[in-house]
Amino acid sequence: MAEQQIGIANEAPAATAVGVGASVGDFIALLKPRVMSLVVFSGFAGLYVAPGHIHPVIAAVAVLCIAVAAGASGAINMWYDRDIDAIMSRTRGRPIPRGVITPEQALTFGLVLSLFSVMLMDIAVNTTAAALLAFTIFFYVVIYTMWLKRSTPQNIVIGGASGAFPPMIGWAAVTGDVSLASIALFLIIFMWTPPHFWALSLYREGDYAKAGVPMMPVVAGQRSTKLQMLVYTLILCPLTLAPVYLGVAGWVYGAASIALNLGFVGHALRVLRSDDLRYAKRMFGFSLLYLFAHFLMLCVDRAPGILSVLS
Amino acid sequence: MNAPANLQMDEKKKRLRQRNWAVALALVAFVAIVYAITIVKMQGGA
Repeated sequence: MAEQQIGIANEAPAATAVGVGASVGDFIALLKPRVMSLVVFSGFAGLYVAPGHIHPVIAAVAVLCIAVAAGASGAINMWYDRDIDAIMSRTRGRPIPRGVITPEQALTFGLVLSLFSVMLMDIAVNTTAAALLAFTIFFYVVIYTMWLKRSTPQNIVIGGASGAFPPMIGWAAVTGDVSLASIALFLIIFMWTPPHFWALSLYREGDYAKAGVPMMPVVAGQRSTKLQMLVYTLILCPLTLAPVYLGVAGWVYGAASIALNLGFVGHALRVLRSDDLRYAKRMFGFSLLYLFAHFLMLCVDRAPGILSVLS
Repeated sequence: MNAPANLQMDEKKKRLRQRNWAVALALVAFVAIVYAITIVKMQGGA
């Protein structure tokens, strides 16, 4: 899954913890719980708005499998990236650089959870959802973490696909297939990832440069990154309205989406026009709200009884 | 053993106990989930 909000919760190096073993909290930190929250919510939204019926227990298991797979991918990512995590101030406090969890423990933990989540999804839900879940883990770990992240400034553009799959998996859990509407939900997160992640990398540029990660601001410079952020934001705007054209959402979602898009474009313009990196930080914060609010409004629009209360 | 070493040993034991409890809880939760899935499938709910 894409590395939205990564590392923020891991800023308390505990030297005293070294030598006494890992706590349960250290293993939870391996799962990148903050990243997981948005992944789980978008997965739930895909499941909720999909046409058809799913038993609540099976729906809960599907969401749990998405959450566990997201966490497992995070653990394997931390195993592979342990060298650069130790260099960057944002990730230095993670369990492996702190020495409380060995790389082998993290890898084993991630692989076991990956296997369990995919198997359970197949047994309890359906094979399409399980296959998409397995592909998402593979895409994040192999395509993004091992291949793209250290080799191209387009790393998070292509790698962002892994963070975009959860609503498609949720949808497939109900319908058993991939449709135009679920692809639209995928595309919303896919196009949202570059402006979201580049906003973060603008004010963390030094960290990435130090670790040798070719993030866009490091390779192409701040001006070019800001321009590309605006372009992706402008492409994203009509895409977020696709659920309305496709009949997945109605006017409640549509109106909220237009308002959120105006705000997002406004942030992108402000970032482009100013050298003050506080605007990039604000845009990063707004991008989280932007995506969360879109999927929340999708659910609200589909919730039985909500529209009758509003009208 | 001196006092700091004892404290470290206590902390080590505490963490090991916590990890054991977490594994036990995860296993119990897994069994409960599989049981619930089986019941739902048998009732034709999915």
